[in-house]
Amino acid sequence: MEEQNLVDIEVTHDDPENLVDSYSSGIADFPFHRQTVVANRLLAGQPDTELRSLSRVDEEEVKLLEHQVDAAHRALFEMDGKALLADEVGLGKTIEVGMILKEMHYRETDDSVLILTPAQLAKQWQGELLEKFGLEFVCNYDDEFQGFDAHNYIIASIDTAKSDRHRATVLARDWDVLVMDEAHYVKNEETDRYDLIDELTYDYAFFLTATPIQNELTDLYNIVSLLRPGLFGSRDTFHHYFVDNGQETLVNRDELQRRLGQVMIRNRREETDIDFTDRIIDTRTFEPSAAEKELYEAVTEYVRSAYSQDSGQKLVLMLLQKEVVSSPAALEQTILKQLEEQNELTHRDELETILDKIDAIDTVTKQERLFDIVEEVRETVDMGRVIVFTQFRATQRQVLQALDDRGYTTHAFHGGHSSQEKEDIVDQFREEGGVLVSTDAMNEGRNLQFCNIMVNYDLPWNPMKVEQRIGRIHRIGQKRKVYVFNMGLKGTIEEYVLERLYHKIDLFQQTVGELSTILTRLEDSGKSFEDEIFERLTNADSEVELENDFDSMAIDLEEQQNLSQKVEEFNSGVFESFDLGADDD
Amino acid sequence: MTDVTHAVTQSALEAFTREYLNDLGAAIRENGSWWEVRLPSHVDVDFSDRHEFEIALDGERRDETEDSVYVLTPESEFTQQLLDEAAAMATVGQLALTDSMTDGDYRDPPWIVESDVEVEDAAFSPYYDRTAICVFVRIDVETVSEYQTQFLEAVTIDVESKDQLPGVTEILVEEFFSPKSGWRDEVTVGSDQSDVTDAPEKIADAIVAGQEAAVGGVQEEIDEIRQSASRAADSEFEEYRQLQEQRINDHRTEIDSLSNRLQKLSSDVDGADSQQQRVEALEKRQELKAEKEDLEAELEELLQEKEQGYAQKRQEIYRRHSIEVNTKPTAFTLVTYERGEIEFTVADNGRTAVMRAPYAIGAGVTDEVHCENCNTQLSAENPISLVAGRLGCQSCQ
Repeated sequence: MEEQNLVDIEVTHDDPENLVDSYSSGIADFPFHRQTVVANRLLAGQPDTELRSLSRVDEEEVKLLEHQVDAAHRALFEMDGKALLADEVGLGKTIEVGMILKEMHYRETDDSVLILTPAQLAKQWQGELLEKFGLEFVCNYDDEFQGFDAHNYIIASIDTAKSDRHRATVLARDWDVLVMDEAHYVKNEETDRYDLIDELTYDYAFFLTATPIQNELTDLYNIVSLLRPGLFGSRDTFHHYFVDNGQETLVNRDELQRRLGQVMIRNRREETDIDFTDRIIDTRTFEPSAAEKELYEAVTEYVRSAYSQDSGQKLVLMLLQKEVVSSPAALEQTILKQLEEQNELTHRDELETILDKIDAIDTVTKQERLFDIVEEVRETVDMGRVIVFTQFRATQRQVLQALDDRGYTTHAFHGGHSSQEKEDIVDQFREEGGVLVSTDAMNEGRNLQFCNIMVNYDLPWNPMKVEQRIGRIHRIGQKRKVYVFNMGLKGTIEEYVLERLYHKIDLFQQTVGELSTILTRLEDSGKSFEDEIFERLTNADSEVELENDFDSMAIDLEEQQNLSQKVEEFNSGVFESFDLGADDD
Repeated sequence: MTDVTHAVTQSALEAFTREYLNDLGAAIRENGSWWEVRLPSHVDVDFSDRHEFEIALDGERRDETEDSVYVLTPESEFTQQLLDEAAAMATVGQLALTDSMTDGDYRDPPWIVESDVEVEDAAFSPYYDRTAICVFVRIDVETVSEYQTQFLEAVTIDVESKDQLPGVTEILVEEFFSPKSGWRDEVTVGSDQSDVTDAPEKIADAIVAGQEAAVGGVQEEIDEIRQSASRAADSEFEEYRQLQEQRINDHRTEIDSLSNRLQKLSSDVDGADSQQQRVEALEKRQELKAEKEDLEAELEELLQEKEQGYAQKRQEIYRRHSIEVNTKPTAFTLVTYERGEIEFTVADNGRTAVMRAPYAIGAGVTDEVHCENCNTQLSAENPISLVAGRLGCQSCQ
């Protein structure tokens, strides 16, 4: 910047009168004088640059990595609490924010905190902050949520926050802390989302994204300007100085790096000590028995026709469709409940026919095949430890019963246990080995690295949930290869989901971060994964059509995956050779 | 000048408090994160009205605290009171730098450091004492767009010559913040009014010279803050400029639309069916004309402003974003240091020679030294050399 464009500096010197008076009246003993000098030094220093809450983080719940601690520290103390956390995917940006919030809580500078996330990640955020950092937030999807003026610690989807219903209350408050996950949501200054963040009042802000630049370099300008207005000067100045108009590429990188370094932290995977072991995926599909096949077809037919008559029943119909491939026991329970409800719309005859078909099943194919896996594990792995995941309690009970009957050591884990009981169960599993049959209530914080084999007895239609299951054992600290067995019945929805969707996007090899990027993109285009699957299943008139439908969904997913990969590569390219780390020495 | 700003960590705070209370004669019983403190009955302090109290080192336990329990954490009220009191307690001290204090660890001048010769021995002969002050200067830098930034700089100034003595500062800073054992005993004595020998005016002048020099020490940081404040000002001005452009466009559109309406009204006047209609149209035309004239005047003003590059507004914005730097001397140490002559025995290729230079403890070689052979001034660029046992410099050998 040229001299004439710089603001003036006015230097004033306080009169040394007081000091001279002190001198004239005598000189103090050196030890006291030294204390005075040290006290002056402490008074002039920044209040403190230690993460004092660090010792209060439960190491059982979360293992903090050096780059995460460093990022939290820099965001708080070097960036005055306004930072863009732009680590590459999968390095734990949520953990960094958790530490920041924990520290702010410790220092009592967090009277009101608003965390804005994409809709499908809100509950996950809530769970992680509670389990790993003991921070309680209310989520806009909770029953107890009473609005943005009724709670002090809120996690909400950004679209809920900007909706006509809530916008005014969100904006009426002075928030102490704003956290914005997937900050590239606000890359475009002409959107309602951008307006919302622009108009929000807050003292501290932490924005998260692995890909600050989605399409063009202006994205970066927009995001950074929300955090630090003026850092890049005006939009024109930024373009003029940093962007080569012809090429749309960066120029003056050093200066950009210097300025970005004041607000952005980007850790790269290769610079961290994160090292994941391999994952071996073994997907096994089995021919259902004739009775099972008949049951599956009857349920699918029933779901289709019932849905076409009353789409309001969607949730329960979706449940039936999921249960029929999980276990007859799970299905039976829901059917009986439906019959009890005496709803006018209940198709009694059809439901009773389904019950008959359930009764006709002698052996449950999946269960039999599970024995094969468990037996293989017992022969090859220390203490035969394996975790079997199912979505349904009834399936869990049935599987446990069958394993008990065969004399296996078993453990049950579900959401009905108290925290202490859950801890005891995990301890027993560690000590006794055998099979742990768990529902998806197994939460993030549990340390199960001592086990390296898991079975997806049935498959959630939400890929995040699948990854969360794998993440229970395939996490930092796992020293061995991880084996994931997927069980599916041939010719059923399970096979479609497994073969045509999950394997297409290589789901079983994705990390949570990579997956959330893909799903966020998908959600951003207005689609819910579960609904997509269900709609396709119920709308297809023939098997060929169903196959085609799933193929097109897979293509859509692949496209999102490719796009997010491209965006990531682009960001890596732009920030390559960018050393945005602190260099105090 | 030396930057002595330091982060206020819990551990630094605890170390300070422990030592401070000990110096006050207190008995401290440390029990994990609780300290039980008993002050001697004759000691009066502002930070506590009791002589027996407890200190909690953990802010999380503040709920349990009672009146007699103080919380010692970087942001606590007690910490602030304690530091404020200590910072004002003994702002002037003194210290004598002697040969024995530096353990014969002399500072080689650049014309030796950069040469090929090695110093085999050095011997200092003190001739007389000089006085300097090491002043600790707090510098506050303030702008509207950034938080206030604070620095603490230490500068040593010779009271007579007003020369800066960075070497002395280094030794002192070391002694203040990481004291060596052993030589503190020699410097513990204070003195009363009768020992104050230098004229207060001289001291005042040296302090002011120290304040000015201290600003130079943080010049780089100030420049950086200036750059960023200027960018913020630029950004604000740009917003203003765009807003004005918008207003100019809006005015032009509005004036155009008024012109059209006026034209239409003129034909309404001409073709009015009745007198009343005609009067109404005329009145309306009058009203719109006035409105148009107002807008034109405003537009003219806006255009004039634009023509001048919005100079007034720009100046206003830049003035608001300007940087205020304020220095405040917080304490100083009177330093007596020995001046005399140093004798370096230098060696190269087994041959030795002796070189003498004016020297001051802590400050190093104080004056210009010239080559014995050719009289050229010695420097890092023109170091000494030893050829066949004869001393010279790079220029002459």
